[in-house]
Amino acid sequence: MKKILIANRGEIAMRVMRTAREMGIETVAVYSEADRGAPHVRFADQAVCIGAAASAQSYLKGDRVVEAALETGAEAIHPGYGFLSENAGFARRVTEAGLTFIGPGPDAIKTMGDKLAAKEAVKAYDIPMVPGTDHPILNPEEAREVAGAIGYPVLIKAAAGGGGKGMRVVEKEADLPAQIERAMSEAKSAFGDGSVFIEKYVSKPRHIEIQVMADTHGNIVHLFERECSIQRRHQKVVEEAPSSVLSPELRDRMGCAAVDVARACSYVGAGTVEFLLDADHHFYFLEMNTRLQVEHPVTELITGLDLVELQIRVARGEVLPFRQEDVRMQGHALELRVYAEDPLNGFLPSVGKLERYVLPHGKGIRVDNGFEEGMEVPIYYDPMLSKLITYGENRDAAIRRMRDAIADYRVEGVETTLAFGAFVCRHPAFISGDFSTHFVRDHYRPEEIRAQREKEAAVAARIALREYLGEIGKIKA
Amino acid sequence: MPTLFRATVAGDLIFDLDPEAIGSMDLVTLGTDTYHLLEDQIPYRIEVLRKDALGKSYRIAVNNRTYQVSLADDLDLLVDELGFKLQATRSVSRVEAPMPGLILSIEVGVGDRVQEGDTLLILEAMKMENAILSPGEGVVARIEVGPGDAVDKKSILIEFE
Repeated sequence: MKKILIANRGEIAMRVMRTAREMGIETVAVYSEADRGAPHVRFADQAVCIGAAASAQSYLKGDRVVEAALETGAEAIHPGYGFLSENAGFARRVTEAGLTFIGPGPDAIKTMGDKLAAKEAVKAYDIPMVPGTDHPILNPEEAREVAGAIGYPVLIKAAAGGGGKGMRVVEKEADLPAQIERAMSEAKSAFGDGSVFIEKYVSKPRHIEIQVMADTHGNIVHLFERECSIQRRHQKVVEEAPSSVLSPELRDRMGCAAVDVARACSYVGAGTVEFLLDADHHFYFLEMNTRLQVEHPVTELITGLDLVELQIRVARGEVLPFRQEDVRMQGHALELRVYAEDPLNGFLPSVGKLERYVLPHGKGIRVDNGFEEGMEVPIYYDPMLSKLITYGENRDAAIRRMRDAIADYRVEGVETTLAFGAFVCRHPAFISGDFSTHFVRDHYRPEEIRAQREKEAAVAARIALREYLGEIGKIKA
Repeated sequence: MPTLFRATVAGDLIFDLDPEAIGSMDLVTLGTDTYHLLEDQIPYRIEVLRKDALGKSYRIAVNNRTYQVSLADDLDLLVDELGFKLQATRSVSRVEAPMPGLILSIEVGVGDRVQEGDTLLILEAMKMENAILSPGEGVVARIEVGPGDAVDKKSILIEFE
């Protein structure tokens, strides 16, 4: 494998290219008209424009991506995350064009991409699951009956896709009609399929996922867990590895369950099996993500492995270079997703120009970044600017480093989740490890950030006046 | 020397300052335009990014955030006050797009009486649907957009009577 095409943009395109380059593999970037000036285009050895700004006319155009690979002589395609990464049809088309898809086979993607098919597939392996519907629902009336039978609160989810889109919690029957309508509409616009499924809502859950890696020779290992419970709008913002609540025994059981899930769909490559962990530490299988995850760096930092390198080696047909018992974890890693969003205004997207953009650096700090000073944050794509990752010999050290790194990260022009990250890293519930996916609802107090900013603004006011008085003093003198 | 200054920070925070008290800050100069301030034992890292004494306008970074500061002395305030009196202000209440996006649906009609918190329309931005709620009670006078319209930040969406 001498040349690969990366069918993605932003930080993940850069991340994949960095490893490819280190392995002596040439890289081809694809980009939309809106991304001509983006760093990933300049970082690659070759770059191909694949269409207009809207994702549907560029990054989601599988045919165009395959053509670009053939034109440039790339032998393999790495899909990154999002876009075409979990599109079974795309994976098949890549293979049919005589290219290598760096990821699992189309059948595994298809099975795990359909939550109901996924549950069916893992049935033989005795994996615990949350009570819920066994078929997709398109009829609001049926939704009401099913929700009543399961018992409130219930969770509505899009049958196709993930990423929190089309996901709603309904506390009582009166709220169901409006929420069902919204969820179906969101599912329809995000995935082209409005059907949803309904399940029991587990209270005080933690989101724990297991990284798995499988080769084409039947070897499957797990690379421990990531805790992703700090979420807003059901989407992750802060992730860490290891989780502060897993005992070695529970880690082992969840790891084995994840390996079974991978085995159930003949999985190949890097994948993630997501579980809910309830207050009594029972775990339930949620879904499998058949791609590299956004939050994979925390696993890399505690295991010392390069997951993209492993993906490429597996795609080349190599045997995994280690066994389960060889994998060790050391230290603790934390990741903050730096989104262009306003944490003081309901985490609404905050678009604009990055007037100032300076990354933190130092020991134990890694930034997977896709932006530069002076760039606009485009409205067409996910508003994530970068991932700020810190490592320490233990959890406290990783948290301290994260606090310092956030303080050194300078962004002007848009609001970001950095302030939220700072709040999380100072909060006693997070520091003690006693939190759930309801952290934002239970503990987040934007007014504390606002009060801090008012203090800073008062300081700025007095410094400005001091400067002014000094200046006019000089003029008079 | 004016006896009072008013500082407007980030456009909406107002501080009235006594110039006599400015000298008592516990400030250490670190380099050109960079300082370390201690206040109630709490440290602040400060950098003066831009100064315009003539326009009384400053950009000051405190910790890792930048604050735009406009100063006004007693005389400026007096002029402002006169200006306000001359302006025959009529408060027009309207709803603007909080971000660029796509209008998915309009939930109200012209002539509807709405309460604070009622859903006015659904705006899709960055793959998320956002319900735009009414900021107060009122009667819808005009709807400036329709489903399928792309809107810029601060575009007028709905006006009230």
